[in-house]
Amino acid sequence: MLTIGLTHYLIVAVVLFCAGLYTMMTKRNAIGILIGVELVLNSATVNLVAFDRYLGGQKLDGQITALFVIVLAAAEAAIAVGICINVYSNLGTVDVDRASRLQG
Amino acid sequence: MNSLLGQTNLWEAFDVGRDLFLFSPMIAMVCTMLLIVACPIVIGRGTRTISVAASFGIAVTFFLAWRVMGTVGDAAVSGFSAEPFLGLLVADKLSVGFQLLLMVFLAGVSLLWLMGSARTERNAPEFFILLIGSALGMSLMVSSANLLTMVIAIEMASIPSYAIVGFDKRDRVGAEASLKYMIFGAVCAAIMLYGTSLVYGLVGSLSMTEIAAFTVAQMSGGANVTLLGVALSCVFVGIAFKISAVPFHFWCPDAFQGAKIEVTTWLSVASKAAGLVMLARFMSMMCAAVPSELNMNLLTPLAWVIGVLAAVTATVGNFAAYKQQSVKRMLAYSSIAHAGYMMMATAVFIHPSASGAGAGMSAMLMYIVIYMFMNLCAFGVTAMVSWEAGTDDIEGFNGLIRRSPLLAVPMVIALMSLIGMPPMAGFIGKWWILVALGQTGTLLGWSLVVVASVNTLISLYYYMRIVVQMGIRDSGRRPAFSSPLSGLALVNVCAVVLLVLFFAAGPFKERVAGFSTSLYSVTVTSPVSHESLAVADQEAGQ
Amino acid sequence: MNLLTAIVFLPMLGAVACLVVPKNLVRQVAVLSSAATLGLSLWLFPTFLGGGGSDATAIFGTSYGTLHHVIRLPWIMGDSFSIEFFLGVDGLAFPLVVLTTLVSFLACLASWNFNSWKVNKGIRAYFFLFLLLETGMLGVFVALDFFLFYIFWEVMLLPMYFLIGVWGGERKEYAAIKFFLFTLAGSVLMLVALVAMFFYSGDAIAAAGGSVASGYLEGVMLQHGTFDLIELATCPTIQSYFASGSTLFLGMKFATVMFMFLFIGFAIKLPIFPFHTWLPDAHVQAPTPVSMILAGVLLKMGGYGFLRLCYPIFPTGGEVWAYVLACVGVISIIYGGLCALAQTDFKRLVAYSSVSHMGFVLLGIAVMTKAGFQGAMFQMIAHGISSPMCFFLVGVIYDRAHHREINRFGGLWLTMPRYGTMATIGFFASLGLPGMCGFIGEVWVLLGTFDAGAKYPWAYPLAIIAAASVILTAAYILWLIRRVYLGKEREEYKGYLDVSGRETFILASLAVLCIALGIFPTQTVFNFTNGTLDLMLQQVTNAIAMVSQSAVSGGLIG
Repeated sequence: MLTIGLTHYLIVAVVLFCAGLYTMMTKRNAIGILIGVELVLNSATVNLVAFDRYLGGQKLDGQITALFVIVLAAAEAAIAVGICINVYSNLGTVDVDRASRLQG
Repeated sequence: MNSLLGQTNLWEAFDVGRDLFLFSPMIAMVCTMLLIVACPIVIGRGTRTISVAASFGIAVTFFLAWRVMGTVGDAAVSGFSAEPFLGLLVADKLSVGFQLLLMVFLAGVSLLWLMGSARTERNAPEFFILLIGSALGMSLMVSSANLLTMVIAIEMASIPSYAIVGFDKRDRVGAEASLKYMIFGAVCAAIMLYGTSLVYGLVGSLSMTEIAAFTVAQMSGGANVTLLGVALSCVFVGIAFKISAVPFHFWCPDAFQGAKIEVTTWLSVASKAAGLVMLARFMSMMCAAVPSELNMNLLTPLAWVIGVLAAVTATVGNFAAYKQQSVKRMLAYSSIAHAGYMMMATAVFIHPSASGAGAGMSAMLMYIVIYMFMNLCAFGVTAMVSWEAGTDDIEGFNGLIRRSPLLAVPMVIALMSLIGMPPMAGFIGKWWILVALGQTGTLLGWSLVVVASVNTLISLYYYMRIVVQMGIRDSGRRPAFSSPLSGLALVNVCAVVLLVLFFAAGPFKERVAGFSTSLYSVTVTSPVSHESLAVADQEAGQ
Repeated sequence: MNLLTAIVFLPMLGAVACLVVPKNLVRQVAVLSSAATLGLSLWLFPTFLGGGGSDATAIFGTSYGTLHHVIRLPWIMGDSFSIEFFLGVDGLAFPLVVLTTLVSFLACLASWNFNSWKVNKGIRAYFFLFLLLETGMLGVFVALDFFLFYIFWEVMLLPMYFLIGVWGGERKEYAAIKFFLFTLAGSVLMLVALVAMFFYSGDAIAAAGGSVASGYLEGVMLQHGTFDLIELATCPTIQSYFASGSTLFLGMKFATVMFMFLFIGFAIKLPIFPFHTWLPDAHVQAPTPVSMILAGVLLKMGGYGFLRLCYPIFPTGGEVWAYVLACVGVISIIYGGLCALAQTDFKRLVAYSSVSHMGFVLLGIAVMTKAGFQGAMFQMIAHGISSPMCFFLVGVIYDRAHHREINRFGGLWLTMPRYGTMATIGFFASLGLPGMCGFIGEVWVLLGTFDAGAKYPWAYPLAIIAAASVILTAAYILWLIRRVYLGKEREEYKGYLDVSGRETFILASLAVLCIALGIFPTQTVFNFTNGTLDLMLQQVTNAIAMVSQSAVSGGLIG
């Protein structure tokens, strides 16, 4: 019988992180990149909660930090989507490669 | 009440009133934001009403910060913790002094905005909320003593900044700039958070002092050096994004060019300065965690990483500024270069017990003060010239010395100061950084002295392009013009300050040096280095 | 009130006055303040009179570092830091101060016809910058704190940039930025040296126990690093630490590297081949008075820098590089002469002749002999008088003809007899005709180089080559005189007016000095300078001897 331990959580987090990183680097659509960002944030949350559970003892620092991360993700998503809407109404696309008026 | 949970009142350990007072400047900023939210409902959303409310808030914040400054003295006080630096937030001369500076700068930027964009803009409440919101984030950045607050503070400063860059919704360039800024910021923040989670796993705490103690312990032959390196690098990405250190600088020119010039002025100084102070605080904690002066070479790899990045940042910024036609974009690259100079000062690792401790920190602080005035002056002139010319192209400066000498002369002073020519304050700023680097006496220090000096030479040419346009080339096509009196006053006062700070370099240094003292009275309470610290104290005593 | 402070800041007062007085009085104010500065600087003479006689020791002391009119005020102080406002003159600075005030005054007078220039806008700004420049130049010569020296050095840059860039000829923008870039490149190296010398001197003192007796001041103890230029040269602890082979800077020998940093900084200003390329451009584009300043004073700063910083502080560096520098000096002499020979532009020719003359300065200093140092110093003063005269002569004819093509001139002596006479004196002085100022400098440098043959065998061939190159100088000057002043009177120049009273005054005063220096070199220059130069050379030789001795003994032990 396999016991689920810290390592397993960490592996999940790393997989999430890598998936997020891959998404951020390959997607050209702003929303796609933001989804990648969310994946990375979630991997951080998983890490924090797992570390707290297995190493943190009584302090609950990790749990609290995880809550903050969730709030940050929400705040960031709100403003990010707002900006994307603004860009879409101005440029007609949210493709980051098409936003190329500022260069040099 | 004591027996409600069957245990002693946790609050008794803390003087809540004092703690609230220590952070009252930030609370005042929050209140100002709320006030500005309330204004449109109660009075109206006219630009004048809102700017009065905002100025009131800025003045109150300044006053409170002034009062707190008197209280904190040379010590560092943590909120809700008996130990300095173990709470989430810390109040010391550094953080409070930075808030004072920030308010001065905020007032200057607001004035610039009122003269410029406010004339066509009807969204004053939103603008000021975002501006003060980012100021709040920056105040938090310089007050954080914990990785969690660092992350939150960075986000708090960044999120309003994304919005404010694309503030004009009809402006396509602004929209593009804010998109790029936001995407870059979000990615960096995510990586920083992942790094934070790893650091938490390794250290078991997010307190900066404990992280520093753990790092130093690992540096002297720990098993987790590599993993810690990865984690700290991830954390560094977030800070480097704020500083716009190479290779995390790509957002900077785009965001700065696309934003309104007032916003560019604000971001070019405030957000970078906050990031630098944060980095410097972290690094001084590292130094303080080293058991004794003799062990400082433990931190050599760290110094090299930061030093090399700083050197590359300064050089890349200067070279990229060469071919720019837009003055805004040129100044954006120049701000990257200056961030590089300031970052060099954070690579000065001197043990708290050694003579000259705090040299790097005070050099950086002086540079920030000077840089604020230089940039306010340069951007102020650029703003007024570009309003007149309708473009921020360098051509707009043509013949400025004839058309508006009261703009051209301060601009020359600001540009000479940016180059680092005496007798302008910019030279003094650079000088103390060079001295701080020389003080280390290491190979890195002297190499950075050479790099910083050579960069002065590299930067000369592109700053002089503006001078040439103003003073030497005059096609005679552009007519003379007059700028708002308050604007002329703003830039000329800045120029005079730049001259005064040069001649009063001695008193200026003494003042600023006092701001870094608290950082070097840190007592690390982590079990890792308790004993070794006692040894260090003994040695310092002898 | 300290005399030197007054001399340095009087022009600045005049500069500020230029900004406030009515526009038609600006010229008067400027000339008046530069004349007043000249008057004040003549006040220095009583201090140095009798320098050749029995009072020499009283004036120059018994070792390098005897200063007069000293003022020392703390400026930027710290626990381990003291930057001072430290001014003083000795035999090295004094003649250059007088030269600066004199040339500035004459150049100011030469700007009198500002309103008839091609670019005649901004008279206030012009004289403001001009006088600011004078303050900067005077400051460089009297500042004895390295930091202060550096500040004055940089303060000169911007006024000069604008003077060339705004009021210059067609390619002024290019010339001005080139001047700025070259000079700043030099100052950047100097800045590195500035920081390094401070900390290394601090290290030296710390290594010697944290408190060391000053090298030239009675009863003063040094606790930390210093910016004092005399201290850096005279304090034995600092000297031996600097010269020690185990003192490294970025992995290289400290003295050798620092010497080179400073040397390049000053060589750009002097200018020495291959750093000279800014000079012809700057000269050709600059207006006449600015050219006079540039040639008469600015170039001397390079030579002054060698003598004040490079050699006394890093004698071993001078020893290591002696051969290279002497060769570069000779190359400069010949290269400048050949270039001058090839020019058809009058002003460019004079500019290249400066390169050639400054080569003698470098050669004289590089060989480190008594006559070499004395000759180099004399050559600087002589060139400071003859070259502004030559540039003014070019300016006079340019004002009338509006071109500088040598081949389009001819027979000017017949049209303008007074001008022709003055021109002959000026150019012969530049040529180095016996009895004129240029001759003494060159001969002393050549004698010094021969003397150096005793310690450096390579000095003989170099001296012979340098001596032979005098033919080159004679060639381009005589050919110039033939083409411009002699020959048939040309139709297009017939109606030209001879030099006016103002122009005659400027030319005559310089001409008198050219001859006086040539006939009475001892009374006019050597008496004031040799005392200090000889003591400095003694200091340098002793330091070199000490180091080589310790190297020998170290070798025996090792």
